[in-house]
Amino acid sequence: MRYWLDAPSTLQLYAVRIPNRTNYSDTPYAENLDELAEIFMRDNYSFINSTPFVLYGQCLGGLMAYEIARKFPATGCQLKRVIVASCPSPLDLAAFQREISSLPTFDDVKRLFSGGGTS
Amino acid sequence: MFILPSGESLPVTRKNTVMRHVVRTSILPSFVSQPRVDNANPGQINSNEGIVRDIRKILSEVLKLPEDSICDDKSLIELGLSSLTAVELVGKLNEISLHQVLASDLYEIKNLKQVVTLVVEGITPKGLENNWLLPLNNAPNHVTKIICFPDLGKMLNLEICNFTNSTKAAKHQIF
Repeated sequence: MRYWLDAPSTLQLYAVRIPNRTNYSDTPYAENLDELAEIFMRDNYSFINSTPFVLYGQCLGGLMAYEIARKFPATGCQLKRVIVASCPSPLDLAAFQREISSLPTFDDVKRLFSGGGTS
Repeated sequence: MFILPSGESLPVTRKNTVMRHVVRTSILPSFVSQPRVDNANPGQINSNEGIVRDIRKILSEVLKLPEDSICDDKSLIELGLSSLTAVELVGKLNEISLHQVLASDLYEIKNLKQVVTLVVEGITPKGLENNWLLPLNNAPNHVTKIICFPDLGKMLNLEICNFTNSTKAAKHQIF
């Protein structure tokens, strides 16, 4: 992402800070991705929709970008693109999410990913 | 005259007047709303030209200053804002703003750009600091925002993503 700091002056880049994960802790903790997307929309809709914008997500951030994009109306919004990197198609992750939620411990999750990440 | 796409309506203020500056920047085709580069004054604000001009005029009237003396980089306090003029200024800004502007917001404002941000986007300087969105670069004339979602797994300290191997080899999917 740091390479994007040389972006042309027509592009304004923003990094998303997840509530209670960084210094920004005024927003309640989200229990799941859908709730996180809901809170994001509530807090930021008018700001990011004031000009054309692109959602970019890396890895699991891509999944969040996808979930948020789904919450925008099909017409009448300024969303131009959703770019997802280092992440499988979110549509393929539905079964994966069910599998994750049924796992009992964090060790099992780590074991699941020990084969080489999500890509 | 504007021809709106079906399903869209003109943005209006809380007093049901059309937000002309928003129409200029978001509804007109992009080649029309592209900000002009002011080569003579590269430091001057030249995006949202209409609203900047309107705000400058309002500040001039309320603060009793000539328009050309309202610099982009001076706070409203430096320009002579008092508790009485703040009330008058809030009233005038609310006439052109979709968002409610409060007198307390004005005291935090450090430059004209922040007034524009407050009026156009409803974000106070303090609000921007505490917002989800951390600006990564300074592009005052931007026409597009890119919202970057970091890897949540990395942020959660769950070492579930093998970044060292996957980042370079990842196939970037564009929807």
